[in-house]
Amino acid sequence: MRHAAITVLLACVVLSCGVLVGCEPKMQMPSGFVEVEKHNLGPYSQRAVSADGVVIALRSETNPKDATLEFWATAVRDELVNRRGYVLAKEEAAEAANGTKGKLLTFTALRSGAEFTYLAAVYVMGGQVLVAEAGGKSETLVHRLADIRKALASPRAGGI
Amino acid sequence: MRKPILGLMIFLGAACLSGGCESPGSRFLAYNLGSRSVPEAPRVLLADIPPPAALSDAQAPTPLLTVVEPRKVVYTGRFNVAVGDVAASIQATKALADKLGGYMLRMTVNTIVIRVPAEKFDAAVEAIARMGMVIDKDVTAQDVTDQYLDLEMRLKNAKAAQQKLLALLEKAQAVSDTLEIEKELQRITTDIERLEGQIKKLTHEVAFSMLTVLFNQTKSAPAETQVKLPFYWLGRLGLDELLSF
Repeated sequence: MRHAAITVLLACVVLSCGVLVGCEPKMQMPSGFVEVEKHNLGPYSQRAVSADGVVIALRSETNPKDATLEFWATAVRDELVNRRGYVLAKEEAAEAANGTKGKLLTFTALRSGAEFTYLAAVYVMGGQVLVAEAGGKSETLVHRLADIRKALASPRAGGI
Repeated sequence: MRKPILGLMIFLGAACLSGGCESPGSRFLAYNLGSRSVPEAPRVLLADIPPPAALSDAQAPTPLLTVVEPRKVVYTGRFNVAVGDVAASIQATKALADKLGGYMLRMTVNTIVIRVPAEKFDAAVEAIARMGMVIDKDVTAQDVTDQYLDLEMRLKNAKAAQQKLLALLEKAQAVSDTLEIEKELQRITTDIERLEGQIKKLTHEVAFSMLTVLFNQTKSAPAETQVKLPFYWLGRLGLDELLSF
């Protein structure tokens, strides 16, 4: 009887841990990036920075109308290009580690006379819209581009 | 008398082999002493000689190993760069090649291929990366040391064979012999020129790295008034939010 109770208790603990761990969407940060503390997360569920000032972050928003990937990719692109004056350098298909199809948008923008690059990978999974973002000075970011692209293809949805 | 000449025949045969005698009609030169009454006038014939595989290791000349340091590496780079002004970027790349001591190889409306001194390769790559947004980048380093050594060895053997043939030509007395030797000399000379050309080309490829740059026009759209979608987070996308702590 006592053995059974312990077994049930352990099962509950394991299940709870699984729930807690699976709550937040996550992505695999590249080496050389350090995840920031909670008070620096801002609107992101995960955020990391490299010593030379490149930032990678993951945001998760609910997908209230079950909008498609195409809808969100267009919304993100139009927001940045038509409303903010970013330059769209490339739009390409992306695929998350779990096989979910996505869109990777690459933009350039000038800030204080220097060219910056901003990448946004959009995925719709598990009732959520996930946007994995990366940004930094172009001349810095270009050296980490391969690792960053890999990271942007690594998000997984949170929750159960 | 017979043994040294036979040895010479075998050496020439092996030298031709390693010298790249690849033409279907090429055969080894052989001597037939013929009548003992004319020992000083060796007769040159294209006789039936054992195939190359039949030559024993002991008969084949052992080439000296040439050590080449440092290793010969051919660097090649391909870039896809998004820029605001493709034409200006093409001209800037051409100017970059000139500045670094290189040259432009070919150019189209949106692509340029340049060669720059290998030691300036990194500088060229960095300069190109600064021209815009690098979308794709592929840099390869191909070690051609073995290929280079092989060509050098084949050239050395071919030259040795050429010298032997020249020596034989001086000794030849019969017209037919002279013709045969000259024919073989011509073939070996062609081989030597071809090998020298290949070595020269490879040396140049090692000394001058090739960079191919494809420029894409960035799709730019002026900021304009547009209906704001009712998703607040869209307004928080971008560099300002991402890079601010």
